[in-house]
Amino acid sequence: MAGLYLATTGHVGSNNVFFAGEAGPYPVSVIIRPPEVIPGLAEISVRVPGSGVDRVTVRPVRWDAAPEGGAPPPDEADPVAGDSELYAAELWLMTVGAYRVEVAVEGSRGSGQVSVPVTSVMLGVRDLPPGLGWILAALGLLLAAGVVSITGAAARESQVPAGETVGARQRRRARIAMAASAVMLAGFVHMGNAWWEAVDRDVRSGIFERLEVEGAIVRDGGVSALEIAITDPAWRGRDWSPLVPDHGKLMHMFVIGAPGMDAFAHVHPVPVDSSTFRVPWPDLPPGEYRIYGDIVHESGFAQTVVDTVTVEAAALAVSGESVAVPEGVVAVPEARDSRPRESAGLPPDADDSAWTGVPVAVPAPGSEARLDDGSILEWQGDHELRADEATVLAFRVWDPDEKPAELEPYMGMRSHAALTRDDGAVFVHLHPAGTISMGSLAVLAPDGVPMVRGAADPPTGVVEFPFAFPQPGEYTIWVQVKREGRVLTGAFQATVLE
Amino acid sequence: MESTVVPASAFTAHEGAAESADSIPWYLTAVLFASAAVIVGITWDVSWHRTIGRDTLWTPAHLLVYAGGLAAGLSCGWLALKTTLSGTDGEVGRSVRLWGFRAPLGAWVAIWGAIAMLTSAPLDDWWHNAYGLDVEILSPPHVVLALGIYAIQVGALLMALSWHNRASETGRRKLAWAYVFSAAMLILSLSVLLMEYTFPNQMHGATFHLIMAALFPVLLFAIGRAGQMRWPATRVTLVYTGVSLAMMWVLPLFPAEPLLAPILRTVTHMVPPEFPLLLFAPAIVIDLLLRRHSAPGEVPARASTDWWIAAWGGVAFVSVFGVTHWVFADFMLSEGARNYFFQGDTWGYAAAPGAWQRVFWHGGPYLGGEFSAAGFLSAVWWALPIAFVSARAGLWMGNWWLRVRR
Repeated sequence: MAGLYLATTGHVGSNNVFFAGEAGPYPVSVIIRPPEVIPGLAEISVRVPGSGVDRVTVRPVRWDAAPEGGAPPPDEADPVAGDSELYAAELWLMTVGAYRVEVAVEGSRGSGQVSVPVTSVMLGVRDLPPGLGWILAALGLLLAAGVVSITGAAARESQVPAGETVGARQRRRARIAMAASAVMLAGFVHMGNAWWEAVDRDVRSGIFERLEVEGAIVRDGGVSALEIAITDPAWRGRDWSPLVPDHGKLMHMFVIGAPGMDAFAHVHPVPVDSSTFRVPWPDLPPGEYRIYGDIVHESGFAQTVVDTVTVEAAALAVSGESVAVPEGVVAVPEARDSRPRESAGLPPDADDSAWTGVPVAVPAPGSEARLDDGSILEWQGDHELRADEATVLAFRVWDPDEKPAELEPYMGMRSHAALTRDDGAVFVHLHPAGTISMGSLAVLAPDGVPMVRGAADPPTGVVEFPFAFPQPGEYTIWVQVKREGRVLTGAFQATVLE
Repeated sequence: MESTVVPASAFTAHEGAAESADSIPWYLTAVLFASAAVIVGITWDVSWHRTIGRDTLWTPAHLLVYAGGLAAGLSCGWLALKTTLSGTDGEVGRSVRLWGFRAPLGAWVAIWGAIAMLTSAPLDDWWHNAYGLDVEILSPPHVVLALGIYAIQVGALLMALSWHNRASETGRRKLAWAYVFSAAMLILSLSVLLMEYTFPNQMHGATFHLIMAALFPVLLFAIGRAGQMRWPATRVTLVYTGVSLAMMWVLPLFPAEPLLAPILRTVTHMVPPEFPLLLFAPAIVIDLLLRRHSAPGEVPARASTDWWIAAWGGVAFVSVFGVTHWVFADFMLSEGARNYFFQGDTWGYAAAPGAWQRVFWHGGPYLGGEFSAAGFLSAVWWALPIAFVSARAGLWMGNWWLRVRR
């Protein structure tokens, strides 16, 4: 990774796609690691639990591909030795933009297919490894010396009949020819170097950059509101396609109190004009906040816009409430009304939610977070987390009577989770279906949007998220579920090892 | 420049040993094979990229290119070691010294080409990892590869020339094909390099004529001057045409489909190269012109003659080449060319179908647009001085080729 300038799209710090879903009768979990440069090879692994699977295929389809013949025939994913449920393939992503990868499974249970959205972008440019650099430099010197010497040999000896000796005239001609070829060679090398640098600049200019936004606290009808303005010239110049809703919202915004990780909100700013979004400031105290806005473009291209805002107490004063986060607050946050405030210009959104408190550090006895309504969120399973290791983050909600809680769909999902490395280098918005954006899926494969059956399931209270932490470090994860019409948030803190 | 008639056969007396004179040694055959393999492999690879798109290091087209590089590198490397360590007087006598080793000049050039091809491999591999696969066809690593390929072909030509120039009168007839073949492969390579400028849709534009006037006379006049036979330039261009047509007719016999998205056009068989350039037309005129002033294998007695040949030859090339391709392009864009024989209007999977396919691109690359006679003529007349310089350089090079002995 040396020398790789990291940029990512739909999330921050990780462009890998984790997906859990169903290809017809087969449950599948899919991991797609897009290439760092485009065109390049994406690595794909497909896990199909159970037996009777004959064949797994994958196929990349660009968002604007013709329905017939616009994509290559599917590629066979090969079984991975030593793991009977795992299949692996590599696929070329040839252009920048939104793709869907069609995963098809055939076997004794029939055949089924599911689509997984992928955003294909240039993430960076790799530097020349020093070892290879030396080898190439040596070969280059050999070739350059060869050009000069061969030119000399041609002028000196190539026209001398066999048996005759090389005369002074030929030797002089050879010296002139060698000098001339060295000068020309130096010129060509110089031109070649300039060309290389131009290509490098050109490719680097194609490295993905998320849309620039500016967040600020503004007054809206006497109430404080968070405003996000897309200031990027590429947006104003309409180089980007318009936005489409994801779970019915144009923007999903996560507000994270940094560096304390003691305040969190998941809100949905609404457009007030073509490049400005606004949402009532959630019930969070003054402080420093990182804001992450998930948006989806018309092509299915998903990205996360990022900024930081400083919220002064004075800016919130009109609410008549100036809450400072108390020192040494206990792991059980005080019961708090997480419903959004109304304001004149901004309609209330029942899906907005906020949380303050201290995340529960894991591993810890029980590893439980108490939710606002008295129910318990338990982090199940292994807490030894390692970077780049595919895992399933499993949680279970117990109602106050210590029975598995009955969960309601929250914006079309059984649960939402947001996780961040505490230094802000990683931010990911997760669903039980993985890291994919449902908005992208709705654009790229309208028939493939999974039906959420949260309410119909037997109440196990379990929610699971397929994921792999991209980098080691200290992480905070907020898990959100809905119960009895209320959005409930629990937070954990965990260390991810190398 | 040249003040005396230099009959090439004047030097054969020195050759002595029968081993050298009139037979083609195995390593010359190997280098000729290499010269053909690299360019046929590249043409195949271009077709592969227009048809299938996805490739690995081990596609048959790539293997053919590597085989060419290996054949040239190994045979010439062996020749250098053999000549240096245990060469006969004859072998040493027809070699040049480089860094203490001895081998024919062409062998050194071919070895250089093989090393350049070898160098391009890790560079190209890293390039793809750093910048993405073939963002541009013409990338620095591909240029290193192309230089290697050309060096192998130039090496083959130089080796063929030295044998040709040393041979006896009867031997020269036997060796003629080696010269013709190696020169034809060089013409083929140049035409492949210029592929993106030689679509029939571009043949009514000034750019096409200017590029052709710059790059083909230099080769055709050199070939015509150095060929010690009747009709050398014509023969060479006919071999080029034959090999090109063979590939154009054979490739589309093989079914294939694109394996990379996005696919913008239905392709069911290998996409062939374009119909070859009608280079034999100017080549006939060049042969006639050269023959008027000196016998095959001879340099005109008066130094000024080559300047006159270049002046008239430049005009002849531009007019004959220009008129034939003007008419030919009209035909290639017509219904009559859309068949297996001419392979008109045949495009790769990544070319979005559109009206641009069947019109002349006057408004820039791949665009339609209006033809302006004034604009065309005001640009294309430059082809005359360019062709003159190119032809004169070709004669100079041909005279030099004639004197190659080692």
